[in-house]
Parts: sequence; C-alpha cells; structure tokens
Amino acid sequence: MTEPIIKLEDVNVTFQQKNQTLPAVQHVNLDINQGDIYGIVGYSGAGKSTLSRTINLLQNPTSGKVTVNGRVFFDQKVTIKAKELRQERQKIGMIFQHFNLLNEQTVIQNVAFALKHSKLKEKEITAKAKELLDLVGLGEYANSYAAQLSGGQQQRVAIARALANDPKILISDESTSALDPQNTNQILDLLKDLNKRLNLTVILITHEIDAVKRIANKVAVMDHGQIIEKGSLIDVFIHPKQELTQKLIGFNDGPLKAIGLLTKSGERTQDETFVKLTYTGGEVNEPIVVKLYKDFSVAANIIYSNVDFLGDQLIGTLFISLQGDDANIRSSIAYLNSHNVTVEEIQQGKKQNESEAEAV
Amino acid sequence: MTTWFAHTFPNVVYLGWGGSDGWETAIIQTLYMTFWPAIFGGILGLLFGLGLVLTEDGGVLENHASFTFFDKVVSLFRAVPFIILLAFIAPVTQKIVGTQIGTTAALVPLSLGVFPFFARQVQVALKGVDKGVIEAAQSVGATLSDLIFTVYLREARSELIRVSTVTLISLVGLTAMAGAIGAGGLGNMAIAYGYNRFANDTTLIATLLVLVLVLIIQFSGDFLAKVFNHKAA
Repeated sequence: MTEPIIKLEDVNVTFQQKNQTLPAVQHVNLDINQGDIYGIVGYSGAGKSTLSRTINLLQNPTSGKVTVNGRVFFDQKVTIKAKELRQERQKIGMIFQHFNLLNEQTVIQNVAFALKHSKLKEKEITAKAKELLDLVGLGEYANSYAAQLSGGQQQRVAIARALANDPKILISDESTSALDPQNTNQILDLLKDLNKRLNLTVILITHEIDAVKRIANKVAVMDHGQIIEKGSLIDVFIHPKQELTQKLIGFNDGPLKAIGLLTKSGERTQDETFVKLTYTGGEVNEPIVVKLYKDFSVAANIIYSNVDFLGDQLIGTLFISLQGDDANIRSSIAYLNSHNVTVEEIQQGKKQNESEAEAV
Repeated sequence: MTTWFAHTFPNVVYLGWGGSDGWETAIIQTLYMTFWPAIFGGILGLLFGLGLVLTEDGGVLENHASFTFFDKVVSLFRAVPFIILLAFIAPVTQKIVGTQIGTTAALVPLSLGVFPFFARQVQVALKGVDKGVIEAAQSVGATLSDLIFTVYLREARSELIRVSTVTLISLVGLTAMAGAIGAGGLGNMAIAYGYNRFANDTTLIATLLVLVLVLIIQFSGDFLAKVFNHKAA
C-alpha cells in the first residue's frame, strides 16, 4: 500500500487556560490516502476544527507527529521551519465556514493573493486567477467585491483561492455550514468533482451528516477530542458501533420507534421475529417478500423501509416481521444471507426499551 | 458689511490678518501644529498599535514581553495630562528641536501626546480584522509583511481612516493648549488675546475657526472612510 498523504500519529492538543487545561484533541491517529474524501463528523466542540488545523499547523499540536506529503511537519516538540511551512502550506488548500475572503480586495485579487509567492509572473498570476474563477463558475465576477456576492458564490471564490497553488489536499472546515441546502449541495458536488478531476484529497470537517453521505468515501467520528469510530463510509453507516455514531446518523430511529409502538399496542403476537435487512445497490433483484412466502411459507410484513444514497452507492434498509415456523424462518434467513442481504435479528425487549428512551 | 463687521468685532479687526499677532499667523500655526504631530504621532501610534495587535496572546507574533512593553508605554503617556506633558518633557524637546518654547517646540509634546491615543485606536481597529481572514491568508502561505500590509492595514483601512479622523480632531484640541509654551495658534488667540483681554469677539471668531477646521477634518474623514469601504453595510 502507498504511504498515506496525511499521517497523524498520537496527536494531542491541549489548551491552557488560567486554572485548567482543556484537552481539545486526544490521541488521534489518522491515515488519509491520496484521493480520499475523508469526512470528520461530530458535534460542535468535539475538536474537529482543531484537529484539522494541526494538518497545516495553523494549530500546533501539544504532542504527537504530523506528516503531510511525506514531510514531517511536527514531531513531539520539533516544528518545521517557518519558511518551509509557508511553502508546504501552499500545497494544502483550506476553506472555512465564513469564507474568510479579503473584503477590501476584488474577487480576482483574492485569488491572486494566494499566488503572490509562486514563481509566476504578474501576468501569469492574473491569467491563472481568471482560470480558477472560471473553474468555479465565477469568471464574470472577477472585479466584484466579496460583499456583492452571495454566500455560495463567496465560498466558490474561497475554493478558487484555496486551489491557486495546485494543492494536493483541501481542508474544508464546515465550509457548507453557513449555506442554504441548495448552495450546500452545489459546493459539495464541486468538491466531489474536483476530487475526481484533480485527484484532490479532501478533508471534510462537518456536523452535517448529509454532507458526508453525499461525497465522502471514508469517515471518522469525533467526540470529546477523540476519534471514536472510523472506516469506510459504507461500513460505518451500515454497522455503526458506537452509540454516538448511531445517534449522529439517525440509525434505526424510525423503525425502532415503529416496532416499539406495534409491540406495545398488543396487536402483535409473540411468535413474530423482527429482522433488519440491509442491502447495497443492485444486489437485490428478486422480490424478497414474495420469494419468502412462496418458497419458505414465511409471511413477511414490512414495517419500515428506506433507501439511502451513500455517494453513488444505494443502501436499502428493510425492517420486517417474519411469521412462520422456526425452521422455515431460519432457512429463509440463510437464503437472504446467501444473496448478499445482511440480516440482523432484533431483540424485541432490548430494542423496545431503547426506543422508549429515544422517545423521551 | 465691512463697517458692520468692524463695528461688531473691533478686537478681531484690531489684531489684523498678517503680522506676529495676526489671524493668518494663528491659522498657519494651528495647521503647522496639527500637521507635523499628525505625521510623527501617526507613525508612532501606528507602529505601537500594530505592535500591540501582533504580539498579543494569540497574535501572529505572540510575545508577552513585547506586548507588555508596548502596553505600558502607551498607558504611561496616556496617563500624563497634556498640559503637564508640555512642561514635563521640556528637556527632551530642547534636545530634539533645540528650544523649549515656540511653535516648533510644541511639535514634540504634541506628537508624544497624540500617539498613545492613536495607538489604542489603531489597536481596536486592527483587532476588528477577522481572525479567520488572517488564518485563511496564512493557509495560502502569506508572509508577515503580507499579513501586515495586505491583510491588517488594508482590511482595516476604512476603520483606520475613521480613527485617524477622531485622533486629528483631538489633536486640534491639544494645539489649543500649546499656547502655554508660547506656541501661538488659534487656541492661544482665543485665550491670550480674547479671554484674558475681555475681548469676547476674538474668542468667538477663534473658536469658530477651530470649528471650521474640525468640520473639514470630519467631513473628509467620513468621505474617505466611505469610499474605501467595501464591506457589506
């Protein structure tokens, strides 16, 4: 396997306040590969932004090791030299929640500002800035000021600025959090497009799980400064291990409530087996419910179903209750498993309690 | 008209236009005492203001010792009442301009009197620059001089013009006190030739002239601040 483009090893950041030390990032290990769109999610104050700032040393870690593009930026107390850091930072673009454009400079000057220390001549800088603005679809606004643009447009300018030095990495720190849903999706799609076209590695810091679902291929969940769960997007979404992760992605919320209500109302009999079926796009072509009844004499009753997209990948979730004799239910589950459908049996009592807790 | 004026403002007319006691001389003295301290005090204040913002905790050049130095110097000079500062630094004035009295001698205390005020104003103006913008500039590899000139001073330009206006106006106020060390000017005209001689007409005209000067400064300041502002209203 190739070396990760970003390697964080046991990174800690603590903030010293008058009488106390606040651990913002604790023992974080993270490998990000070239071409990844790595989502880092968590609630506000989880340490996501602080963590992302250790990548380009806008925030110095208290301890740990940061390696980017094969260069060691920080190792315990030793920091890369200021001049080298400035050069290395140009290979790491960054965009922010509040765009952070220079208000007193025109759009094109904002982009050109990032190219000031490149080897390009002034004419070439202007040409490249123009090119970048065309890339983000804002060529005609070159001479406007930031205040004259909408939020989505300002973020596009910020993206053009961040891409000015042809970075290999783009850190997006809550870049869509201040935008409306339509602009959010446009910006996310733009990031995805850039990722594909330029093989740009994107670190997507966000509290919006939908943003991650839309474009990321990997995800890490942060809580209290720690990464509590990480892996491929599909793995984490289908099999979330931590409670917080489940909560964050709204895992099982609806169906469990439905099952809880059904069993409470007494309409349901005890011989029902509740199962959750998960399948990924294209793998299921046969009509499952019909098949179960015809071949296994098992009556399947759909309680809840949902189809979700993780990137381009379709994920189907189906909560059903099965009625029939035990042996038939076993063999029908085996059948489903052999057809790439993940089957999880739901323990009624336990889940019911959880769903009640949820309802409170 | 002329006779009405001569009749209503006899003392004003008596002082004349040119000559050592004349109005022209007083106006030029006031402009002179406003202009040069504005330059010297302005540069000094800008440097100290920048120093305060750059070296503060969390600043680009965070340095506690330097910050304390800038902070204490500014506070010390602000604490001394100007009329006392005039006398207090007379030996220093002597060293710098070779005399302790007169219009030129007033330039030194005026510069030193106005710079701490300006430094604080600059500090506030520069602190108004969003930290996120600084961060964004750093993330594209900005150098210290980029941060100072393209980010801090440029982004705060409109606000700096506004605080310069306030400072200039307070400087005009300080020039009125410089009469105490024989510097002349419109303030001196109002006190020494007006008030002390029971010539209220002289006091009135001198005051009106100061008012005109202040209004000109205020209007030009407001105008420039507006022209150079591209932030959302």
